[in-house]
Amino acid sequence: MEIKKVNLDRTKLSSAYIQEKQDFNRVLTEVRLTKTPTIKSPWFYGAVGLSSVAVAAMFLTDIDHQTQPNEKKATQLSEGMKTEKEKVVLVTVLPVQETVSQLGYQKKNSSKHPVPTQVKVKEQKPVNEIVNDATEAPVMDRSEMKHRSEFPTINGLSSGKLTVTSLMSAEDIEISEEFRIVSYKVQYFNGSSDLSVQMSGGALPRNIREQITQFNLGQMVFFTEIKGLSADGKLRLLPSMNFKIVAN
Amino acid sequence: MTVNPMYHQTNQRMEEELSWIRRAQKDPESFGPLYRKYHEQIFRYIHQRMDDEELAFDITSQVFMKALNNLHKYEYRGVPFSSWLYRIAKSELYQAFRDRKAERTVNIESYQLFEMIDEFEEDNSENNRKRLFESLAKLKEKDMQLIEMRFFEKRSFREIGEILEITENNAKVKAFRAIEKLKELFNAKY
Repeated sequence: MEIKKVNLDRTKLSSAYIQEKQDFNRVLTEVRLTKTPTIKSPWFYGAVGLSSVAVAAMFLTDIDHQTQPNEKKATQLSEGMKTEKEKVVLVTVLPVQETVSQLGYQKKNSSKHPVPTQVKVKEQKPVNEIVNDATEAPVMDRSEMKHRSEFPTINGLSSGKLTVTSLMSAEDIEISEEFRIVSYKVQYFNGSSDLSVQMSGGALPRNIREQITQFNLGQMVFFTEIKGLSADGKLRLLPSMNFKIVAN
Repeated sequence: MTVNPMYHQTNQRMEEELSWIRRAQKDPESFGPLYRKYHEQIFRYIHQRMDDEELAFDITSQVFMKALNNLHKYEYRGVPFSSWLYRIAKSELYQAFRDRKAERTVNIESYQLFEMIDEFEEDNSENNRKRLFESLAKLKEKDMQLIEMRFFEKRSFREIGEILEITENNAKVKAFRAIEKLKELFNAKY
């Protein structure tokens, strides 16, 4: 900044004159006038914006909650399988403990952590029986389905064993008239690698059916992320389908 | 160097001032005593640096409006309230210069010229006064403001530091350098 002018002995203003010019009321009035109204304040928009985001998030979460119960039911198969697998693990471990107790094996005297000489073994089903139960049992008892209309099917099945003929004769994933399938994901083996294919609509393309029947005999095929548009226009995540492909 | 009584206040006066501030933070109308106390010195600070009297009054009002609007942010740090007002005044004043509403002017009294020539240990001749007057006009603004506050307005280094938001020692160093630059300009003309 440049100094424009230097004055020598400029007339001094008197204190009385300066005091005359004091106007506190004007300052107060201008302060009141310049105060930003709440509606123009960035805080207001911040608060409103955050609230809107929160409401939107709640709304979306609500949609998720509506679809989740069905999703849970559909995943009970896999959960059931997990439980059975856990049982299998138990069965394989416990006989070892039983053997230990039968042999009366005792570790070298360790007073702090004595090994029990007898181990109680729970009654278990034979391993083969449990494995068969896990693979052959239906996903869930159909009678328990509360929202049956929301379950997509292939030739009337939503899980379990799916024969080659049934699969080849199905051109679409079936669902009640309340829904229209918008998209789904199918996971299968195509002869060289495991594929996960995202499909639009509910059609089961012929080439995919052929690959499934050709390379997945005795294997599991998964139809997941099945999204359906309900009659009231809401997009729902529908229960997944899992099949073991078997020969006729 | 004289002592500025408005800056060097007793503890009792400082506490009284603080109670006014606390009241004004709740009710703007209670700002009145502070306005009346500091209006003249803030006006003089502004008017000293420009020619336009009406604009100086306007800027003074602006300073008090800003102070009132931001009073909730004010924190007492054991220094007079005037230091806070001077900082606002400085900011408003320089904004006016940037907006080209006002022109930066330096106002000197003859006796201040004599004092400064004494400081330079030179003869108080008409020629030297003229040389000093011309040297002041050539000084950079940042040096000029230190010379104005220290030699013309007789402010303490502590007060200068608070207005310029620098330490007291830094204010001393800067004021010393500013006077050295003025001396250089003064001697260059010789």
